[in-house]
Amino acid sequence: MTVNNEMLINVKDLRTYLYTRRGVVKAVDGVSFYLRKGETLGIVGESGCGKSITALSLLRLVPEPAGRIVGGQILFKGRDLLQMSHKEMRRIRGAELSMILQDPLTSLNPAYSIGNQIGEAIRLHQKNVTKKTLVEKIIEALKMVRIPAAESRLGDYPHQMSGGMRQRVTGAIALSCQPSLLIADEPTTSLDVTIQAQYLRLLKDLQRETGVSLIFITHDFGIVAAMCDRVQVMYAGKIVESAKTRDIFDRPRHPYARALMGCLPKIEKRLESLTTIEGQPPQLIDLPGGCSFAPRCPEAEQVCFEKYPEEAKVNEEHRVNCWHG
Amino acid sequence: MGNTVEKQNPPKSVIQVRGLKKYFPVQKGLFSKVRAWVKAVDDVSFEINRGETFGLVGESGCGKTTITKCILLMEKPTAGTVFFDGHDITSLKGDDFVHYRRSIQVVFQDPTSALNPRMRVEDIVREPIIAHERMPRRVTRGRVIQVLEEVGLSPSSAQLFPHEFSGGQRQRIAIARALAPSPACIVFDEPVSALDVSIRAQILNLLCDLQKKENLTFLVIAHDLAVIKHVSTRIGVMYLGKLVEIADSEDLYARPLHPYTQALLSAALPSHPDQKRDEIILSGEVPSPLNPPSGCRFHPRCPYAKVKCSRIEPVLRDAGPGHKVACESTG
Repeated sequence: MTVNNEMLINVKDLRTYLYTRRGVVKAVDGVSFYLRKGETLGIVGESGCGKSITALSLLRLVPEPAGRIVGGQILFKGRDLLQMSHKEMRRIRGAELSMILQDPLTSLNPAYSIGNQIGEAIRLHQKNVTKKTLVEKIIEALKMVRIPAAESRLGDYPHQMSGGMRQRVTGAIALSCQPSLLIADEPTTSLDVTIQAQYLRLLKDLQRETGVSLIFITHDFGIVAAMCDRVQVMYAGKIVESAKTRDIFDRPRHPYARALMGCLPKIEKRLESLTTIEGQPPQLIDLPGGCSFAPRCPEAEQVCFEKYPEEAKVNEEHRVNCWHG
Repeated sequence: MGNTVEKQNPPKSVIQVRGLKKYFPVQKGLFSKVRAWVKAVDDVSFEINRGETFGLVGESGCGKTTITKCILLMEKPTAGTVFFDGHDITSLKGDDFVHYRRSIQVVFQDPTSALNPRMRVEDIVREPIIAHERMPRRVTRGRVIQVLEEVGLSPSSAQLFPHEFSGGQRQRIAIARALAPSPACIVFDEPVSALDVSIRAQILNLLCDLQKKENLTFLVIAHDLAVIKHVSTRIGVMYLGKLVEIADSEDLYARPLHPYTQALLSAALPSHPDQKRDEIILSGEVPSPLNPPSGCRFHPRCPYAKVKCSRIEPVLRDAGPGHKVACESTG
């Protein structure tokens, strides 16, 4: 994989809040990270930790009016996405930045053929495409995601395909305009084990071919181990630890990252009992001051409840937000 | 049934499945003729011993849920029988049927849809008790509180409604409900796949503890190999309606014999980035059970397939102590 040092996206202090009847949900609360060209970044966390809202914020697709990006910067190839007009954003979205969602059955339109849906993405971003070249481009996109007999499947509808094939079609739509960043939000959660392996292999191959940067949103450290160069762990709207994949597996510093890894059953060796994290992830409304993990943390001390820890530097790429880190 | 048999010499296996088949008819209209059969489960035999956790693993559509439905008598098998404590359950009638239903309980995947939102936890948990025997609330209350404590919930939660609990706690309520009538066997259908990662560990630990304490017999279904390995003592691997391999949990992972088991294991995600894996990535997808391949059902995707595999339908044969495999090419 070619990872050069050229920065593709640099997110600084991103804040996305959801305004609900019960109060303000700080879904993304001061998140900063970066991604180089050709790199794969994993964002790991449990449901409700803000990882999907982070992804939607990058595309400026946060559901309005409830959700609003209230602060921060998203520098994409040097330009701030948050300063762009809707028109400019529409031009970039799908062409430069695209996304694969968790469940292809809901992200594909059941009433249109897959050829039509892939064609839509291409037509939107490439003007003056003749009908003939459009069909060629659609077939090319389907071939890219290894759909057998692509020519004969243009008229197929999503219900005629299996789950793995459908997810490949969403991949074809996302990659049809050669984006430089692909965000995959739990792309394999709805797939079977052997199909998941196929799909992950496919994404890796596509990355090698096109040099696209990937952001993987997942709750599964196994996917991180298989796919990602770097990883960041999110908890309650904040990034609590970020590091190179190997570093976080060998030396996790944040108690949450450690616990999250300890509570996965392992295939190689049977553990007597799994580590558990007591309690529940917090509600993101009216979070108390201090570290949000403190109430569930076995190592919490007085200071953890009072003040949020500053980012501590373990090494150049390894950062942790913990008083004990 | 139950009582008289247990006092005598109880058979080693609690559940014995013999040649179980379940075909679903495919019809065009409501009254038209049956056009084809979906062979969801096709000639499956295994037994579950007393006090063990038997895991069934396989991808979606392989028939693992249909097997449990047949065991729970939620579906009538097309052919074959299921024995419970030595009795054929498919011909149970009257009191015996009621007794059987009481001695086997089930926990489903999604606790939110498995619990009635209009009932209080106490009523949910006592329902399987009073379904079989009319009892006033003060009599069942003790048992309700006992099982709630066993699954790690406080007695005060009995007065709350399901929506007042988190996903993990709801699954605990569902487990408490299954425990309430003191069953001999509990079936878990994907017990943790709807739960968050940090909560999964709690429920898996609970399952292991409960089994040790109560000496219950569990049948666990999952698609996650690590989960199945963690809880099971013996594991059956299914592919397209057939059982392809059965072995002790450790043995299966150390010495997988069937090519499908090997592929399934290699498709499992690594637990460390340095972990070397000899990846066997299967091509294609699981064929439709409507028209399964001839011979060995796995042969179109099998990396070791030989000519004979498309003709001979392999049967389970012994391949070491407690290890059975249905493959003509390996082992």
